[in-house]
Amino acid sequence: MIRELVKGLGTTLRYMFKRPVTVQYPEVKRPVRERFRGRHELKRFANGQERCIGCALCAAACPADAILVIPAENDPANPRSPGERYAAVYEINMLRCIFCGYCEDACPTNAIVLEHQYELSFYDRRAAIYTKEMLLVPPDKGHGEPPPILQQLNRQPSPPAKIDL
Amino acid sequence: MSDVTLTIDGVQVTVPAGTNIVDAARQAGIAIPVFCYHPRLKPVGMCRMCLVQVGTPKVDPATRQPVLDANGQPVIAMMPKLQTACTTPVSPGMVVKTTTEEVRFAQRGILEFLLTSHPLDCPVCDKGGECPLQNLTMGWGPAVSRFDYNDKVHFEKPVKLGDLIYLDRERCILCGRCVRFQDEIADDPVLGFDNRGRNWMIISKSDPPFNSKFSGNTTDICPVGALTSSDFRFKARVWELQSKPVVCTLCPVGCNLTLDMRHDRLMRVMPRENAAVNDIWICDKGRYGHRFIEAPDRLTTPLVRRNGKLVPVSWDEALEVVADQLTLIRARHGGQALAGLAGPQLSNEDLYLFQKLLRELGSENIDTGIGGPAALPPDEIGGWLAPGPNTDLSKLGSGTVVLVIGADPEEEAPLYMLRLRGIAQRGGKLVVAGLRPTKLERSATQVVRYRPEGELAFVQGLLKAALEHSSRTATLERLAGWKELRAALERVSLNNLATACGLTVDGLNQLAKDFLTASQSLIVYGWEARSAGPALTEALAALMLLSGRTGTANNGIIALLPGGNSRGAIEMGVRPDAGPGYTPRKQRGLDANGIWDAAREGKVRAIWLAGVDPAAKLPVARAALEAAEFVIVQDLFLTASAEYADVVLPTASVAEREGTYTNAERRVQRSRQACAPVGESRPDWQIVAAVAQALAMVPIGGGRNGPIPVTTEAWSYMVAADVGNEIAAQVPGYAGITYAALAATGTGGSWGRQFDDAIYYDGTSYTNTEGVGLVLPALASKGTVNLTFTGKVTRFADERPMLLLEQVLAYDGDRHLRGSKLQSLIPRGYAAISADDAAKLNIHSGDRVRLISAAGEMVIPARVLADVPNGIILLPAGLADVMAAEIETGPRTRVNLAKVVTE
Amino acid sequence: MGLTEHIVMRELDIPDISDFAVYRRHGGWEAYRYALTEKTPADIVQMVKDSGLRGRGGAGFPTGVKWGFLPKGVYPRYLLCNCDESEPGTFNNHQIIDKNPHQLIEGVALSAYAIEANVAYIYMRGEFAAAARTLERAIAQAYEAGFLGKNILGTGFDLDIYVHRGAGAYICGEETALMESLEGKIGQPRLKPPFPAVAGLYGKPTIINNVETLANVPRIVEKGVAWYRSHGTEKSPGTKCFSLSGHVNRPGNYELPFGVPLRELIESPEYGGGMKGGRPVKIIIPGGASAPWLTADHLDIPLDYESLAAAGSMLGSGGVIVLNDTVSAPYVAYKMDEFFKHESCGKCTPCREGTHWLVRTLHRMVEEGHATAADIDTLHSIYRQMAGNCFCLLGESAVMPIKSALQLFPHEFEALVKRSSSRNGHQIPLIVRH
Repeated sequence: MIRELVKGLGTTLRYMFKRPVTVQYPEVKRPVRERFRGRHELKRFANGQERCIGCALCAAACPADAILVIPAENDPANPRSPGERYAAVYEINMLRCIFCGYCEDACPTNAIVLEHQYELSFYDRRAAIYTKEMLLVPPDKGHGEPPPILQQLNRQPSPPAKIDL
Repeated sequence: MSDVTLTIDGVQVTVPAGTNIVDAARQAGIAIPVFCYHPRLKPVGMCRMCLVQVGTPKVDPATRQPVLDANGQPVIAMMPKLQTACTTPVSPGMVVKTTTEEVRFAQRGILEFLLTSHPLDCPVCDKGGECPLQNLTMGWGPAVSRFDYNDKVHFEKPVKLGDLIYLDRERCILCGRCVRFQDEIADDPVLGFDNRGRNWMIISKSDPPFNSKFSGNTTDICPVGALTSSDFRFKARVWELQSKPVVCTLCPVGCNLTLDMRHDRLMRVMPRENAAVNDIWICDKGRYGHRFIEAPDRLTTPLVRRNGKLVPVSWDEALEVVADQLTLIRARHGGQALAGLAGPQLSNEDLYLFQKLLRELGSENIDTGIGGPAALPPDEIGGWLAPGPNTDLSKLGSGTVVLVIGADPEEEAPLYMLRLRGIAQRGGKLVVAGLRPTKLERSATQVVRYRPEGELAFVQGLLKAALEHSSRTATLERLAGWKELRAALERVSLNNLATACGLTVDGLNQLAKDFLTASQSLIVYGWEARSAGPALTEALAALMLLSGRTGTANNGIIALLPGGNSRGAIEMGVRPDAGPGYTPRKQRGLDANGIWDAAREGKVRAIWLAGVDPAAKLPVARAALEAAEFVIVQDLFLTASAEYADVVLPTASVAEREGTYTNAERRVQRSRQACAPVGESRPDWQIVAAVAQALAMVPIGGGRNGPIPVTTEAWSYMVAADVGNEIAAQVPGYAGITYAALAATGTGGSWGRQFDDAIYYDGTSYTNTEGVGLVLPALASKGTVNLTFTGKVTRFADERPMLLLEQVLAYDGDRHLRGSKLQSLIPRGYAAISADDAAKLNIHSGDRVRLISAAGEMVIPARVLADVPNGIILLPAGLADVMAAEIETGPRTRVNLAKVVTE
Repeated sequence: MGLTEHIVMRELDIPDISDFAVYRRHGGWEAYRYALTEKTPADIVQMVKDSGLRGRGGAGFPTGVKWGFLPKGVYPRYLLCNCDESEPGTFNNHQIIDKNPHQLIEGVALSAYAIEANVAYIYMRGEFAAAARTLERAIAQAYEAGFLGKNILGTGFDLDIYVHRGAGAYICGEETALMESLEGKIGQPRLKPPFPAVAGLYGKPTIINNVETLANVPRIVEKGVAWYRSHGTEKSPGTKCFSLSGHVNRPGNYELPFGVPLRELIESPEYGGGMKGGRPVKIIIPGGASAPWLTADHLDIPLDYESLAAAGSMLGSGGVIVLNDTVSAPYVAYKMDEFFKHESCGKCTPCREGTHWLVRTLHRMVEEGHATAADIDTLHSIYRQMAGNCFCLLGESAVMPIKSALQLFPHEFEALVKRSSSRNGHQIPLIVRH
């Protein structure tokens, strides 16, 4: 009887000197792995343009149908993204999202990235829909150059639609 | 033609002689990839994608017999080079190999070549997802490109080809489909090529650029994203779209459409294959003109006038007001004090219930359209003598005579131009007769240009000549007025008639003989012919009856009437003189013009306008609506007439409801609901039924005019099919045309949409699985033709030198075109005059001219056109800023023309 | 084995032979007069058939047989004379017209009579402005003399000859592209069949022959079949005008009977006069830029259709380009393909894209000095993807320089790669990653 008691208390005693496995969340936040898939971010290029070109391949890849993309045509004088197309509306329903990362895989411009933020809680369902403004990183946080495919370098002049023949 | 048997990849297949290898392989279920080949266009063999190995049996030159090998099998001599399957016709015993290493290498090579100058911007390209270049690359192409991206040719883009189409020259693979479509099918050769080599490119040769009413079809058949529609640019990805089958109500062709919806919003309009109606094409009006569905100014709630202002109310309130007022007016003044006008774009269900309710209330004052000086009586001939069941113009060719009289199909019913042109291209005889040149003339085998007002002489001349060749007058003898017509014909000589119209006697004789002896003969007439007066169309009807083939397939008269369902409106009895199915009414009601007069005199006190806007065009209607005690306007928009309305009821558009429509050939087609109605709007038939229900609930009796004969039970239609079934049961001629029967006509379709069949890329036209419609059994075939020859011609108030003709335009002031890309193509009001007349009065295009008739005068900018005959003024009355009613004295008007001189 | 009598380039030394009177004095227009007055069209066709005259434009198809393809009883017919001569290295037509236009006009008129055409067109390359004026002047003289026009020499035969100048596109030397161009359309080849003899210009039966071919006809009629066949070889009778150019001492046009060895053309003091500076022969292109190359090993090949075909090349238009050992084979291939790329009409994919790709790759290898071993494989595969798959022969021709260069001088391409790698030439990534 005593033996068992001592043995049990011994275990308690042993653990008193070990580092606790729990953390004092939310005061202390546990770091996540590099490949952790948390809240999405929409990235930018170094020049501040949005990486997202509104192709909606993420929405097509999404197994939970959590993403809505409504594209629109860029104003050539003041483009939001390289190329002709940009996402006018980009929404992710975080209640639907299963954080599988397929959107990241599907993205041709590495615009959508699942980052490390995981504190996603809402008081109502509408708040669970993250809009483009919430998802986009600030303009000074861009990286990389747009791919040549979207830059259209060395364009030859193209005759106008109407040619005086 | 005889059949040919050949072997493709070891599969024996028998096809008609003249078939090319691509189509033959298709029949055997073998895929040969193509880019430039399109089954509706002549093969050119430019893209070289369809290269295959072809061999033919070796023939001994001495004996002309096939050489046999040891096993008795013919020795096959394979051609030294690969052949393009699209340009090589099949021959007996031919052997085709499509999967050998050599063929694979060549096809992979071609795809690699195509991709070297393609920008590969699929993620931003609108074609992505339904792109044959994508599909064929997945199936036949190389996995990686060895081409250096920096060596690609880049062009500035996009290039705007007109307001409707954008061109991306980088994506273009130069297959020439668009150029060939415009040349061969649309007869608008406005596209072409410029430059050469890698800089070879598509250009538009017209001013304004890409000036064609069929331009949108090029985006369908473009095998890459080079031609994109401005209407769908960057709007959605194609895999997100839900395709809903509807019928176009913008003209009497009744093209089958697919509305591509995403989240209940209209993204784009696409053709739905129906060989007998629109094949795989639609006109730009149908493609771009459906933006009214989501116009921001659509009515969303019922409105009732309170203290002089229209205020939103609930349906119950609005219906109560309508029921109370109608009951009251009927009780006080009788059923004849009620009147109703319905628009020709409403469905058969709407129109049927509309007239049914008014007639149950005791009113015969029912009409289609808005009246006005140019209004014509309902066209019965196009109904009685319409082509019979199984009519399919796409099958007609050699042996067919088509007589097009006084019609401009390109403007009145654009798809008919393509179909009639197709008949001529396949060897049929297309006679185009008219006062002025039309685009269809360019495809005609014979053009008849009679002198102004010579058309009646022309048609009577034809009839007189036909009478000499045909003795099938039995049906005619039974018809009222025939004796008088015949006597009149006997009084004039063919010579005089020929002189009057400007033709020769031989010419008339030959034409009449051709018409009677053809294996199929069709007559198509339009506004210009009808405006000459009933005598003209009656003579055409007699001519058709003389052929003795009326009521059979591909024989008959096609009348091009304004609006999408005018034939349906006539057949549903939305007319003052006859009920559904051309059954005459004992008592004749007032037509639209009669209603306006009666309203001003206080005889008609309640006017119900369903889908018509008379106030926008007719001063007389404004006065009448002002005078009327109670006006109901039932429309998509707050129209000009709504200003006079006491109650405004919002209706659902064609996309938001089910319905059936009867086209110019009397083909009934079913349209489905594509999205939820906007706001609280309801389909017209539901509104009419709800009004009937409300009437039945009105507590007061009918007064001295008897109780309201409407019961809740009789008007309890739950779905459109209930009304459809009643039409099938009640309307003569519509027996069996139930919703189920219409849906059952759906075909698997030979025209695979991308998703169905990635290889056979014919365009993005959709397979028709929702029904191709049914042609009604001909009324005439029973020998009970009930026509009267009135011999009436359009009379003029007085004699003036110039003849004013209304011109129908496809892009006019139709309120359905609002919000569409077509807005910029709608011209400002003008009066078109000939160059000679203009020179006489020193008028130049843009000068303001004054038109003076017995009825009044108007000032309008002139447009000098080379192809208007002298003495004729064309007035596009459909344009919003042309108030033709101010000067018109009838369907045609004689006017003086003067130049307005401003200091 | 000199030629005693010139057939095609006859009387070139006579002063003012371009004048009608001078030409007539030297027996010109006599064959035409004789044919019109004493022979039927069928006789002339038979004569040409018997003479074994072969088309000099490049393919070497028997002319008489071609004339026989015309469908019976279908009129009008057209005769087209192809004087587009835009094959690099070929310049004999130009000289014939410049010096002796009446010989060609007589040939055209005779041939038109033979095929019963009342209208003939001479399609001139756009750049031949002076020659076109000479020709027009000569045609005017012939009209004046009553040899052209209505009811010629009272025989009831009508003939009008028109000269049309193209806009200088190589592709317009292709017979169907020539017809498109003549009809006022963009110069691009048509789909065959139907062949021109059945449906050619304006959809009517049309015979199209090269200048040199037609220039042969008067002599055949005048001197007879047997005389004609005494020149040249059994299968290639007559003479051929070779345009010799490149690193030889005496470049120029030389008329030789078929079957003369290549060496004689290059080395005989009468003709080429040997290589410049005595350097060795490296590349011989015997039939204009579109012919496969030969090397010094082939110097003893007789110049006729069959022998050259057996050696893997072709006689083509007779433009012999001789290059010495100072030239780089990849560079020659690059320059020639640049020409074909520039002249590709763009109608079919392999030619349009293939030539572009070839030139871009060769440009990088030759001009920029960045070559990789993979580039050589790419070049091999591009020409294989093009060969045999093009709409017309331009694409097939474009393959020849690079194919020959790769086959005959592979080590030179390898040397380019070595040079490039020793300079640490950059590697252009195919896919740009981020």
